[in-house]
Amino acid sequence: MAQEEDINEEMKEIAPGFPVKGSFPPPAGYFETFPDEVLNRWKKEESQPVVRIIHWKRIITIAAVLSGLIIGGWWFFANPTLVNTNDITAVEAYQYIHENIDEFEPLFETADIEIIEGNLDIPSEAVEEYLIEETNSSDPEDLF
Amino acid sequence: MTDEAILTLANHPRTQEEGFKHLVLKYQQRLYSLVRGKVSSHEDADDILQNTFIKIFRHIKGYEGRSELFTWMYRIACNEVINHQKRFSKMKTVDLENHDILLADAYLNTDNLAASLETVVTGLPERQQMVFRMRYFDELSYKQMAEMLQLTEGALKASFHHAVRKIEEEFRAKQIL
Repeated sequence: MAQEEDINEEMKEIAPGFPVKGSFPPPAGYFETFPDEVLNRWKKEESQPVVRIIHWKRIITIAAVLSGLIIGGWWFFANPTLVNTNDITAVEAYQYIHENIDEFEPLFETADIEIIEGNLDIPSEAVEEYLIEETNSSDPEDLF
Repeated sequence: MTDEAILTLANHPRTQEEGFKHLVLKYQQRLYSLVRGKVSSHEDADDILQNTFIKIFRHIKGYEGRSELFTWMYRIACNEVINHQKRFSKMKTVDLENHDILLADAYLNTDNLAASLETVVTGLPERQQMVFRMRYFDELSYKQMAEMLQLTEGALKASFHHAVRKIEEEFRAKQIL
């Protein structure tokens, strides 16, 4: 190693009192046998088939995500009412409701209307006033 | 043998083994001393050194020559030391602060001196600390450090000398030197 690259030489020059680094000599003969040892290990490892480590956590996560996507996709496409709802115009919606009014019947249960009416606390004068306004000041009696 | 000659041999299937052998012969001592300074036993150093060379063999075709060959191998060795320390810390509960002192201790062979050096070095500004560790402990040349840190050799020398002076001052104040 060149003198300027040797750390101990440099330390002697710039800081003579600085603690000199210890060295760690390996066991005797280590460097004679090491090259063959590492080459043998490399050859052995290269000749062996690659063993893939199975990361179970990763596999379970991927399986869960895939299952979610499959179930979600199936559910989404199996419900045609959910598909393209944004493309339906108001006219088409009205037409559909008109043609399939029977399907909406449960929404207009008369019992429910009676209950709502029973709970209303509107004075009859106010109702009359409303009807006069709505019928352009004609007598409400004429309506019936 | 030059690095270029070694690489030419190592990159050819027929001469690959010969190239690897020359590579190990040329760099084993330097890498050993680098690794040995960072772990507490020869057995650990041997294990890390073997893993380092195996990785070097496997990836040598990917070496693009953008840095010196040793600098590239130094990085691989450092990564292997870090991996070893991770495994080590998983196996045993290690007080990391004391672990640093143990590493410095391995260099200086004196408990108090090693502990004091580690304490003083840790107190240096970040760049001086890094430069001191690379130069003093890892024995990298200024050229290699310049390549790795993208700094000029002059700036690195100045940083290292400042660091040494600061350590000396601290040691004198504590009457260690």
